[in-house]
Parts: sequence; structure tokens; C-alpha cells
Amino acid sequence: MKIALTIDGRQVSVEQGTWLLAAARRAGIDIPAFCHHDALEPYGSCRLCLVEVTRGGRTRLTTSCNYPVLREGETVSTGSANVLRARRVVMELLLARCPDSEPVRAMAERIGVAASRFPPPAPSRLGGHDEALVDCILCGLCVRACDEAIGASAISFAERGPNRRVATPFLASSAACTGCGACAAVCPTRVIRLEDTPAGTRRIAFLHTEVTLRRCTSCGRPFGPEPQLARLPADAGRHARPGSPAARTVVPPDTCPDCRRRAFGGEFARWTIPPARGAGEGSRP
Amino acid sequence: MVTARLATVADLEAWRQGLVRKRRPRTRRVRVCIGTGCAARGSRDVLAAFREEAATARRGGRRVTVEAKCVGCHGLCERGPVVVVDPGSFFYQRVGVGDVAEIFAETVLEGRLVDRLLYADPATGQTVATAEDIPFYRAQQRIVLAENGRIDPTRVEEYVAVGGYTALAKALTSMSPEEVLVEVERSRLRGRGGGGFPTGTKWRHCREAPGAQKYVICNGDEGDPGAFMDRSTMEGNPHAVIEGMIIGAYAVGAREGFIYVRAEYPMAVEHLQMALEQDRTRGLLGDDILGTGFSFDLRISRGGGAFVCGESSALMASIEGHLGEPRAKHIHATESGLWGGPTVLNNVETWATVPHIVNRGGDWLAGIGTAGSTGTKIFSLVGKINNTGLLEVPMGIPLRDVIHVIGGGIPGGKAFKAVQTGGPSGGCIPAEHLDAPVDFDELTRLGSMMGSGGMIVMDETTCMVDMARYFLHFLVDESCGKCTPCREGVQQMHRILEDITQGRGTPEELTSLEELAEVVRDASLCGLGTSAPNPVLSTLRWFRDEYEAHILERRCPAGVCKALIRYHIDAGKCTGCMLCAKRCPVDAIAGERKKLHVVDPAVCIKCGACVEACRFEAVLIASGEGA
Repeated sequence: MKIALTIDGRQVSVEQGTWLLAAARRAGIDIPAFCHHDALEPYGSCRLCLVEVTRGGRTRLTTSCNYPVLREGETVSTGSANVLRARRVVMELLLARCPDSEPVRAMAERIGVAASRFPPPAPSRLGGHDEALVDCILCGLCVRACDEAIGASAISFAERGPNRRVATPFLASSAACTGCGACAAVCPTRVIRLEDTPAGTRRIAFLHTEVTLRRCTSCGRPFGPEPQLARLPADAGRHARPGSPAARTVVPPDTCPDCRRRAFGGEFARWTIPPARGAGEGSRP
Repeated sequence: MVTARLATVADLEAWRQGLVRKRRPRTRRVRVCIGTGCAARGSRDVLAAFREEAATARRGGRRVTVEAKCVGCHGLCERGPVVVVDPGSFFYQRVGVGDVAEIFAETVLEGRLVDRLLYADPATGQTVATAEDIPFYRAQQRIVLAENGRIDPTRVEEYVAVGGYTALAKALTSMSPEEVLVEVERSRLRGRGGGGFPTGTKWRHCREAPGAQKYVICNGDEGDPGAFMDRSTMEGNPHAVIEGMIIGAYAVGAREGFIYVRAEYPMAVEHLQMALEQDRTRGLLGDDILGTGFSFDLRISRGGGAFVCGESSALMASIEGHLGEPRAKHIHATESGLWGGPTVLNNVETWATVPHIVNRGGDWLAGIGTAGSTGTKIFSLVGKINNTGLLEVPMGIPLRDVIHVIGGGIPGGKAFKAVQTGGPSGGCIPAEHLDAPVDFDELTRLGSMMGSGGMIVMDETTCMVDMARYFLHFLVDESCGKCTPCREGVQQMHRILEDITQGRGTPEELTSLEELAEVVRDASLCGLGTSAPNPVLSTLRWFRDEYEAHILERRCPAGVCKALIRYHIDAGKCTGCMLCAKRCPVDAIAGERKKLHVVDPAVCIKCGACVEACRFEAVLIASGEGA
């Protein structure tokens, strides 16, 4: 069922249950957000996507990412004085927390916040002893990606209030981590980075975790995280055309993508394990 | 004695009549409060001593039956341990183990009063014999707390004997779920947990929501500092809460329920656990309750002590085994709550009111209180007040009556300054609004809230800026940290308040504080964040001059903020006794016997030991210019 609403004076019609942020973006109206990703359930933690919704004569501030469009006739303002003030103050708070983070500063600039009135919170209040935590805005994208998209739930939030942090259980190397790097891929502040070591391991320093990379039986080069490869279903190639390279690939693979290409004589392997991602590839803010 | 399962409503009634017959009114009975307040002052030892006396008397062949029993909180915690002797309902206060033999010999056996243990009016010194004669009790109207202090909360028999579970029997046999619902709607009962949402409306939404598996939940995660309403109810009369929940489950169509209690309330957990087991044995809970075909069971879920888990969505996440984190509530719990099922979550007090509505009718409750806030409300009264304790009053009672009649006024003859209602995230109400009626809408209008019913009284020696700082400090650590405004904003507000109380505040910071408070209120995700700025906003509204004195004059008008005060000794009053100098832990006071003493401000750590030591009120606190 289609629902009609007005966003910034524009008439918009969307499927019932569409998130307001998606509805606005589809209509070409941009709303800033840090903790949102289209592939994940909305969470509503960063509060940058605040808008004003008027319904039945009552106007209130709400985050658009987790606001479902359910009823006819709502009027939305994404740039009222109230919205801009709240967004500015929220941005100032994030900037105070992470004054040196490049992505946070870029967002501040985009919103029009040149500097924060507030000093950084006392260092002791940032949980743990990790330098890396300083640039984390606790948006929760990594935690949700690991849980919802990957199904590993290797990381979670620990502690509360000013001490809240993303962590593995007991801050130890996570046994549940598959080393897939989804957390790094979605991290908007790029504090989660993957590092493939010469020793044949993948280290995620932010999460105190290190996983072994499988070595190619042909060239000896490490090519993919063991736990991730081990999770591949045995019938992963079942949809491949009979006789194609994909159908002939052992699951999980024991050779690296390069060697497989060579082995198949130039035939293109239908799927490969992508190389480690992380640095420089945050989700679309 | 019937120990079997009650197969029908008639069985319940027969059992109840048997129990009533056994409660001979002439029985000599000693009721010892084992509520947390009295227990902390050793009431369990007092109870043990009475039991021993009773056993000795029996062995000695005296032909009197004496029953020494434990009961829930009487309410006047300030005067605990409280002991009541029947017949006569003689009310003894501050009873120690050493007083037991005398009470037993004089009052229990001979019916004579022990004068020195009676309540004496602080103003007149007049002693009174019974609770009814104490102003603290006289001005109350007890419905939910009616049986607190009368029945043994660990025995279902006592609850049944005073009419317990008759409402359940009535609802299950002579009312349809719809009829129960209509009575609750007619009562216009509003949720006692703080939000004040109409209970009947909530129930109807849940009843009408599609879904086979529905739930009822009791929120017993009372976490406000200084609040013990729900605790005392769960400890003192657990069956009332359970009966209300079974009736609610019947009305909305739930077959499963949870009581969420904080683990820091071990006695509440224990009493509820005992109550549930007794109810299951008796057929009052579980399959085919009282043979009516209605089945419902309850489980206790213990909370780990996070304040945020009192927030409904965080509470449900916690029951589900997830992080106790709130989520947006654009879709109500009555549509999709616990494990996605339609869920009614009510507070302890709300549930405990339900049996009374079923028994006496919705119109009866609607006739108590005010038009917008019906019924009674339990408050815990703490802080700078003579009668610290638990009270239940009709909605709409003037605040003045709560403070000055029931509370007995401010100790030491000091002036009342304000009362914080609604817990740490509530607001303060100043003296000029002391005649305001206490109800949901009036408290909101004054910038505070009902909350769950904590009242913290402040007198002239309370600094309102320091008070706001204190509550914000609590909230900084209790924010779950999920959303930016609450996690970062409350922290920043707290830092600004620290600056102001330490004499470093600037007018610019005050502007920032105000804007921050408004944004945290408007932009936070859950009720904890949206109400966290209340202590700041309400003190700014009523006591802005105190903020300005701290910032512009570097002066703390109440003489509290250490950085802004200075101790000095009044030359006219000092007798040179040297007591203050002896007590000073840092040797900051100089002076010889019979000569004026002097405080060295460079050494003084402002601990206040000298003020307490001085018998002549010669040590003074000064603040501001020239101090």
C-alpha cells in the first residue's frame, strides 16, 4: 500500500513501512547519518538524521532512520530551525569526542559545524586503554553487521555510559570472529582496520583479534581467513553451470584465486574471496 | 487445614472462611516489621526474641496464645524497627532486642503500655498508643499498602484470609475479559511507573492486537536513588502484585508473564518466589486456575542493576537475554513487545491496584483523587524530612500536607527549599508551589514529573546547583551509552556543573548548558535521555539566581560548594574551648585556651568537622566577596 507524505514541501509517495530516511533520500533529499546502512536494521544511535514530523497537529523531533512511514498525511521538515539546532549540537558532541577523526570532521563541515564548544570527555571516561577507541563514535554498524549480515556475533557493546565500547568477549581474541572484515567495511570512522601480517595472519587490532589465513597449496601465499573459509557451505557451487570452473572448485578452496585462475587455464572462477578491505572504504555516510 | 490444590472457586471460598475463623480476634499477636528499613536496624533479631518469649510463655503453661510474626513495611521507616501488638494495635517504635522482654511482659501479657517506646509528637511531646493517632498515618489513604504491616508476606494463607484472590475468582467466573477491561478503563487508572499512560487503553491495545502469544510484564526494576515504593510492595504483599497480573493476563489474553526485579532486592525476589510456589501448589497459578480453564504462569527475571533496564524496551531486551538497551518505540509494545508478541508492561503499584478495581469497581477508584489522576499513589519520602518513610495518599493532595503533615516538616527547624519528585531525572518544586496538588498533570506543568514516586526533600542548606550536579553524576554512569545526546550530552552537562560548583563557571557555559539540556531532552532515544536534563532545567527555572551567584559572584548561597566557601570563627561566640582545633584533621585551627580560635584558609580542607564539634555554633561558613 502506498502512503503519501510531504517532505520539505515536496509530495512523496512510498510503500507503507518505508523508513523515513529512505523515503527522503529516494526523493533526492539528503539527510546526514553516521549509524545508518541500507543493508542493516535501523538503530537510531547517532541522532544526526533528526527531522521534525508533524502529525495531527503535533510536531516532534525524531530520527528518520528508524521512523516508519505508516500513516497518511504526515508532514516532514528536514531543515527546520529546531532540526538544525539539535543536529548542530549532536555534531558538536561527536566532534568533542573525536576531534582528530577525519570522517567526523568531514561530517561536521558538511553540517556546517566549524568547531565544538565542548572539550573532549575526560580520557579516563573512555573505556579501556586503547588509543584506537578515541575515534570510535559507537554507531554500532560493526556490531550489527557482524550479527545481522554475517551471523557471527563476534563483537558487541560492553559496559555502559561513558565507558561503552565495542569489544570482543573479555577483550580477548574472538573465537567467533571469521576474519571476514565486514566490521571494517562498514565502519564510518575507519577505526577498524584489517592488517594481513607477513606471518600469515589477519589482525583486527581494534578488536584484539587475530585469525589465521589459509595458505595456498600451490603458491604458498596466504589468501583467506581460515574460519571464514570453514564456514562456506559444502554445496556452495551448486548453482554453478555443470562443468564450469566454479562447479569444479573444491569447497572450501585450497588454492588462492590467482592459482585457481591459472589452474583453470584462464577460465574465470565464478567466485573468489575478496582481499582484505578496510582502510579507505567506509560505508556511505 | 486444606493443603490441597483448590479445584474450584468454591474451594477458595471455603478455605478462606476456615482461615478467617482461625484468626480469632482475641489472639495476642506481635507484628514485627521485616521491611528492608527495619531489617537494617535489626528487626529480625527483635522478631527472633519475641518468638523465644512466646515459646517460653507457652512452656510456662500460660494460657495465652501468642503469635509473633513478620510483616511487610509499615511505612514509618524513620522510627524503625516498628512493632505492633494486638489486641489494641499498640504501636512501638525504635524497638531493640533489649526492649522485647518488657514489651512481652507488660503489653502482650498484661495489656499495659510501655510509654518510652510509644511515638511522641516531636512538637508537643505527647505520646500516642496506636498508628491511627500518628499524623504520619492519619493523613494517608492506604489501598495498595492497606495490608502492608498486617499480613505475613511469606504465607498465602494470610493474604487469602484478608480477601486475597477474591478478585481473581470474581474475574474468572463472573466477568468476561472484556468486562474486566471495561472496569479498568472506567477506573481511569494511569500507570504508576512514571509515564502515567492510561492502563485500560494499554490493555485494550494489547487485547486487540493480532498475535497468539501475548505477555504481561511487571516492572519491578525500581532504580531511583531514595525510592522504595515497589520494593516495599513486593516485599510486603507479593500476592497482590501476582493477583493483579493474573487478572490482567486474563483481560488481555496472555498465558505467560514475567516479573522483572532487580537483583539488589533479594527480599523482594525471595518473597515473590515463595508466593509463586505457593500459588502453583494451590492452583492459583499455572494450568486451569481454580478449575476455570484459564491458564497462566509467571516467571521471575532478575535484573543486573542497570537503571536503564527500568525503561520498558530495555527491560524487554534484558528479559530476552540481550543487552539492556532501549530501542525506538514507534511501534508500541502492545503490538510488538517481548519476543515480538503483544505485551502489557505495568509497574508493581499499577498491578497491585487491579484486584481492588475488580472487587470494588472502576467507578470506586475513579472517585478517589482528581479527575485527571484517579486513585492513590505511593511515595517514598526521603532527604531533609523528619518522617522518612513510605506513604500512600490520594492523588491531588497538596504537596504541603505531604511535607509538613505526613513528613512532619524539616529537621532542626530549617526552612523547606524544594522537593525533587520523579527521581534523579525528575525535577524540583520550590516552596512557592507547596500548595500545588500532587497529580500527574500538575507536576508536569511545574516542570517536574510524578515518576515512580520518589520524593527527596531539600532544605535551605541544599545547594541547588550541587544537587543538579549530583543527579547528573548518577545519570552519566547510568546512561546506556547507545545514543549520542544522552551519552555525550549528559557527560558534558555534568562537566559544566562541576565547573560551576568549583567556581570556574562562565556565563557562556551557562548558555551552553541550557541549550545542551534542551537538545538532550528533545533528541535522545529513550525516556532516560529525554528526562535526564530535568534536574538542570528545573533548577534553572526556579533557582537561576543560585547559578548566577556561583558564576558571577563566585558565591554558593547555601554554603555547600567547597571551592566557594570559607570557614571562620565568630569572635562573639567562640569560648576558646579548643574542641574544634582538636577535631580538625589537618590542624588548620590555631588558638589557645580561652582565646579566640582562627581557621587558616590555606590549610583548611572544608570537611566540616569543626562545625559539628562546636557546641556554641561559633564556626560559620561564608561565601562570596569578602569571604
